[in-house]
Amino acid sequence: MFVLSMWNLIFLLFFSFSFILFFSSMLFLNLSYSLYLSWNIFSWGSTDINMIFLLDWVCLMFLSFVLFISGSVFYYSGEYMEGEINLSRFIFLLAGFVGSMGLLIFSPNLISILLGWDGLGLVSYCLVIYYQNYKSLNAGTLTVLSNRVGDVLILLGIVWMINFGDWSFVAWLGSSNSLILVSALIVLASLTKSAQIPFSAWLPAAMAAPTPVSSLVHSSTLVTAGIYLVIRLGWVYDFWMNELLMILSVLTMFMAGLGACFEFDLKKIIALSTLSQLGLMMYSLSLGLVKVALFHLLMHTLFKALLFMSAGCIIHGFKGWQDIRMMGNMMISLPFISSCFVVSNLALSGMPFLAGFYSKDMILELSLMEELNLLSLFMLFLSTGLTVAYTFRLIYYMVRRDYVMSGSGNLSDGWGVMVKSCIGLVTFSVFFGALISWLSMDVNSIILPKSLKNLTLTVCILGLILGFFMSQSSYTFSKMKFSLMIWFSGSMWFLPYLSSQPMTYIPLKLGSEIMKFGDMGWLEYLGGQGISSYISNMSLKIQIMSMNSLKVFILILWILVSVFMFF
Amino acid sequence: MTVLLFFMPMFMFLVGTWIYISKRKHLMNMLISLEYLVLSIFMLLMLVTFLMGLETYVSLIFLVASVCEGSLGVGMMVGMVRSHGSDYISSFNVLKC
Repeated sequence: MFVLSMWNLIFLLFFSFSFILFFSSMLFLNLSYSLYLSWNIFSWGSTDINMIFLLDWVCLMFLSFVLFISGSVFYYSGEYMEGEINLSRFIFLLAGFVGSMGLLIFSPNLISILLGWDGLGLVSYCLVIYYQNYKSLNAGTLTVLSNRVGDVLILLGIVWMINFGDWSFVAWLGSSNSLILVSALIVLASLTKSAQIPFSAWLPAAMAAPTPVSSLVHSSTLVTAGIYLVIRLGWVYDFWMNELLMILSVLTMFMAGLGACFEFDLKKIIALSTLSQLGLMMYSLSLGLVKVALFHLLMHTLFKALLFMSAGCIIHGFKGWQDIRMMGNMMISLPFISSCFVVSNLALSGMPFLAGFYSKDMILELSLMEELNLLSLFMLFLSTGLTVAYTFRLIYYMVRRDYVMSGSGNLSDGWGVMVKSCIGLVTFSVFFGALISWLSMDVNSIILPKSLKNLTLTVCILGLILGFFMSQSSYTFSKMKFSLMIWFSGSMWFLPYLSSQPMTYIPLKLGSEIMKFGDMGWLEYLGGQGISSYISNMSLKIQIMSMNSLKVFILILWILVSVFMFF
Repeated sequence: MTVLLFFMPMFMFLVGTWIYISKRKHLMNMLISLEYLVLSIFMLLMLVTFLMGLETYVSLIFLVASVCEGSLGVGMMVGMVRSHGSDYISSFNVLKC
């Protein structure tokens, strides 16, 4: 029975909006139509302050995907977050998040993009620290501070854009030095939001958030905001930061793929796979393939949200346990959820004709046609193979092998609400790849020699063998001989340690020194305690001086008067 | 000759002031020295007004005022004896009223 609670109400609202927006985006695409809505807030003489919304098919499609996933997540949270005391807080935070994302998607000018961007950062912080314990606090601090760096960079971009008189992308006519600077700042800001290499420590740490939050925020919307911003930029400028973007994105892909092969926490593996796919999207942007990056972005949101949601169903069944070493035999106990899990994993690794295949294969083949250096190409395909490897490792651990925790309790589908919320996503992650590519993507002609054409498939099959069969004998690989390499690879090349410890050591040390020598030392000597002891000493002396006979004062008065009279 | 006449009241004045400001035991000393001062100033006043050919009744007004002042002083001394027990100056405390 369909209870009309707040969850379901919002789910219905978002679902209907999502379908309306999708069909409008198709309409706009076919008619090559875009809508520029501008609200003149006030104008003084020659200065206008306008609130602008630019509706074209890209924003409408992306927003329809975002609303679809949010609707499913709201319906899903109706079961996942049952028994939660602060339900209204959660609903408000999620709704605020979707609102900020909508503002970001529809805005063509940098100020309202900043509003949406900052809103995303703030609301995602509140959502990460939702469960109030120390782990969530640390994760939230890392998240918000990494995102803050991006905010600062966008603010600098706003400052530099004042020269143009208009903060919209439509003002970018011609090329000048300021344009290079502003676009460089915006690309760097998107690096922080999309967790590329120097700033990638926050994404696995942010898995301390509840699973519906992870599936909405950290898979589909928050981390794709950076990519989306560069895509919007990509229609306007000419990509001056290609080399840097390529290096960082390839390194991110590789690091994340490697890390996911050694990780044992379910949500962290999925976070690292998100990171790897974000690296792939940034990589295709650095090649200048803007539309393909957008396509991969849209497909990725579908199957990644599905992956998080089915993982959440499993975690809920285990009452919060997330370690995959204790999971097994899902196919018997949770058949539908493990089917969704396997389908989304296959879509992620580029199984032919599922959703991820169309976009991912397009990127790989188009990059083979470019004149790239061997190293980046090698690492791209290595990362693709690693994607398949950790995917099948996960499938082995969760679905294929037999019970590990025998007698641990029963694993069931609950009320079926979480299961039903995955239906839409799994359907779309199977069909939408083909659908979107037929409806809206350009037809690229791929001209490759046979060996390169088969390279993708070969790499995927090798990765499958590596992941699936090597993980069955995982005990032999945990010997002490390779432990430093395993620690290095598994902990993301020590980036979390690098992002947290050195950054906090100096401020904390300085803070303690200021506290000890300043606040409790010299400032007290010159301020509170020092002045009070001085005053009490002096008043003691004055008291001693004034405890005399009255006659002394009269004598002094007479002396003064006589002196005054005679001079 | 007329200047020499001033020596005695001046000397009286100085002696009275000396007694007034010196540290003695009783408040009564101060009040008696004040009366002595009054006498000296009365004499000075009479002398000055006579030798300058002015009217001398201003000294009467001064006398009236000084009598009031003397009685006020005695009243204060009585109050002090009532509150502090005697008129010793050493029982005063400048810091306490």
